[in-house]
Amino acid sequence: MKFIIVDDNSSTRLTVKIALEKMGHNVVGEAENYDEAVKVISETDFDILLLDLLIPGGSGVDVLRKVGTRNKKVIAITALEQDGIDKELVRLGVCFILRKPFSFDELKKAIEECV
Amino acid sequence: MKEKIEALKSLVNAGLLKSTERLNKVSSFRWKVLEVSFELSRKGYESVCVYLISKNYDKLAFLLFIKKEDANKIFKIFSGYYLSESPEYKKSYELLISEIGNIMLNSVLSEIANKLSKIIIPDVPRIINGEKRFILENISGMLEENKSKVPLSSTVLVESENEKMSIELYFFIENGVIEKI
Repeated sequence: MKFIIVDDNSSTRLTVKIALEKMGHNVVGEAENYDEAVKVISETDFDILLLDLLIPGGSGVDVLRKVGTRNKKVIAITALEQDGIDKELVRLGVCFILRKPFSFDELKKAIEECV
Repeated sequence: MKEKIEALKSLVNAGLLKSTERLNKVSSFRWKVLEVSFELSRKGYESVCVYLISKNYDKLAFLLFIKKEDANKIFKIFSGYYLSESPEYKKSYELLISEIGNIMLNSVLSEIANKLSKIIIPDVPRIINGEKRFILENISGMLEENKSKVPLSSTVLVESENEKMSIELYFFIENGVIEKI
């Protein structure tokens, strides 16, 4: 499957990319802030979006409000655990909320839950 | 007000317990909440500080301090190396410390947001190095109406096989927020 990773930290993106490739997936796009995220989601053909909620320039919630899910699967990644945010993410079409810190198996499980 | 402050203490404690449970799942360290109190320790030391300020609700500021030597130990145990001269080292080091801060501080923030039935999205966590008292004074000074903010502190103990380290957390919370809890 084709993935987009949105996270402000390049080391995290690389680690997640390696994990996804180990699972047999491809990373077709990356973004580190709000503007890049909106652009890459709008212009790239992908299956699953991994979206960190805390990114510079706006939040992951703002990104989804702007571009929507484009009828693709979205996994939100966050250390936040707020009822209001969870409800809003579900309303915006997020299929799984992955809490930090997460393991390889938890990432795998999140993907399985979504597809 | 006393009851409200006790309720706030419980929220901080609950948030930290959740975060230490999460960290214990993925780390070889043992993370343990030691205490939550209303004291600003005057003890200064060279530290690595992760802080976050809520961007849509400017009444809260959360800070996490680790003694510089303890941060080095934590990094060494997590990564298996300590090469301060390496250019890549600083990047990995800051990522690890800021992720630990991100997890702990956001857990507490989430408990408070849930209690207030609000959505509070913080800014991206920031990391700075320096003397603890100096950083506390500066962050505290950045907040508007600082005089009405209540500082709350907490200590988390981090244990590995051979090492014991402590992490200090500080929360500046406006009186008006405490009254709503």
